Amino acid sequence: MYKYILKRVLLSIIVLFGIILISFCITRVIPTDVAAKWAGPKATAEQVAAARVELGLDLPYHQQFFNYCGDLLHFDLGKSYITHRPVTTEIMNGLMATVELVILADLLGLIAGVFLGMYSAKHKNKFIDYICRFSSITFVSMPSFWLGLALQLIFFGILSLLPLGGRISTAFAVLHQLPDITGMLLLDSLLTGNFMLFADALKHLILPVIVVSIYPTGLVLRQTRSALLEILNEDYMTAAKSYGLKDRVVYWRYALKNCIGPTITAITYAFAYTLTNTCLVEAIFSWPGIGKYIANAVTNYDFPAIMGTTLFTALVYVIFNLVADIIAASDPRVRM
Amino acid sequence: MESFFEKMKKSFLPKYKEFRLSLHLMNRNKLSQLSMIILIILVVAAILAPYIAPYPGDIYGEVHMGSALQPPSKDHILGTDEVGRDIFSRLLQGTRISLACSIIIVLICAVFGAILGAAAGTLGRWIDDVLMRITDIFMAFPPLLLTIAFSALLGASLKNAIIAMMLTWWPPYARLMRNSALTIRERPYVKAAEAIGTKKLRITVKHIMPNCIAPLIIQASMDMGAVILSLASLSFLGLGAQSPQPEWGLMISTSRAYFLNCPWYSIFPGLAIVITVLAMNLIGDGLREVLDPKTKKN
Repeated sequence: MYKYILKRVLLSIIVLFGIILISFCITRVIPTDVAAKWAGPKATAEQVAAARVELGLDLPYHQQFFNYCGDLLHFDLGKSYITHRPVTTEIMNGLMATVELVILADLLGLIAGVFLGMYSAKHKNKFIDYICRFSSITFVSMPSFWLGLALQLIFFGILSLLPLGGRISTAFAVLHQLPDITGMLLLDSLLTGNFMLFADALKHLILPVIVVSIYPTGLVLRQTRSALLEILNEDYMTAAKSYGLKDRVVYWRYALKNCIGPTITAITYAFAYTLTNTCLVEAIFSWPGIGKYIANAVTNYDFPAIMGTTLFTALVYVIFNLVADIIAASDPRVRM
Repeated sequence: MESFFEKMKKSFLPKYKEFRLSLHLMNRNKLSQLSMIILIILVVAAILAPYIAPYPGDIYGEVHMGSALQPPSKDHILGTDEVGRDIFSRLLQGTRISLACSIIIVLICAVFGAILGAAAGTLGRWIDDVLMRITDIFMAFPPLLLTIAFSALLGASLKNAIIAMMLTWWPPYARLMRNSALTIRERPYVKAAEAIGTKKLRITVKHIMPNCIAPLIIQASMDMGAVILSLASLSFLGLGAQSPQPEWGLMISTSRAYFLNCPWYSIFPGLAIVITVLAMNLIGDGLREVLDPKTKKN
């Protein structure tokens, strides 16, 4: 067990090194006019040359790579070509907005997925089971940005129930001092007891959360369903049923406990996946998180911003996958 | 000649029978059957797109400002876009782009990954380690982000988006191939071939690779839809196809400016994506049920 964890951690370190190497190549080595881009379109030849020295581009590659790694150790992901602001600050500004979105979406996905998966397994091969499985495949087959647009059309355009996008209403942002404790507006408004802000933030969250939760819901549903189906045929389940225990007790107390392991693993993978794949949803709902930052950086070809964010999310992704693997391995029934 | 045909018949007949059995098994699943029919229709539409499109000129450059943003009607069954082009004609051509791209990307990734995986699985030792660590590194990136980074680096165009996708979608194939190669390598028939002095390359190509193909086919069929989705996402972000290419993701991206007043412009390209990807995913599910020994028993 410990040997496995150690091996997995060492592997992750090698992988991280490779990720850094690739990201270094993409930001520094392959683009030809880094200094010119940094200096801007109207720069003179001298300014470009000065920028080259300033960025350390005159050094040989191995030294540049060494400096790059050194910067990373200080959490310095470089500066944006366009705004010349450090990428790390920009990521930190958007991080909590994304985390808020993703946590809520994964919670929703976990709850909905477990419920639907259980329902589906209980009525295996009945009509309702087919509906559950078919709709989970259908929703996963939808481009998230299109689903977002469709929901905006229905709930903003036709019903005018929910706002189009953003985190809170403009009027609110102007009139009120926003609390800044954790960076998650929903939590902050509860902590400060500002319920109007809470309602407003919640309204803005509903649509993006639904769109982001599609993937975890589908994943958890499938995982729970197949895990339950395996368990339902076990002897102790038949025993529990023949004692005359209520269905609710049998399913929720006996069966769920035994299939929660793979479900937890699934939601951990899903969390990593959703955290790194919100850029399309954030772009649609103008949600000011890291996803939108990437989407904007892409339109400007701002490589330090793109790669800085990619590197950051890759780090998160690697760590979460590591954690998910360790959780999966810590189940004594799984033999290494 | 006769003997050649006999030989071909002998070697292909069992494979054909197996294929027919798989097809039969798959056809028991009504949903995959329906998806198969939809996919065939889509493929035919993709091949014939420029000939059956009601307004072939609208597929690319033509502009009819007079009939811009019209709702669906008898003349334009899915309406028109912001410069008056027929959306249905453009969607037809979009089928062609999406299907062709996904087939090319998946095929090249599968072949490349299979070769790499087979090399890792059969050569073993440090080659295996190095190749698998490279695979790990590529798989460690969040899936969409690396593609975005590569295609931004290469510059925004459909061709570069395809290259970027190829650079990032091969690792699962390499890993699948390597893992099955490791088990197949120990099978008696491989040992027998080794014992009679068959060359390593020949063993790999003739005995190991064909027997590892099932998981690769499953992965490929699952990836087809995902590739279409990713390509549409890249185009949506402005990295893939460029205007006036009738790519589905790009059409949705352009339609965003008008979507509250002209919902049909956003809805139909999205529906085209959903139908195509859904058909592919259902076929992938059906294939997995047929080919995967784990699901065969229940």
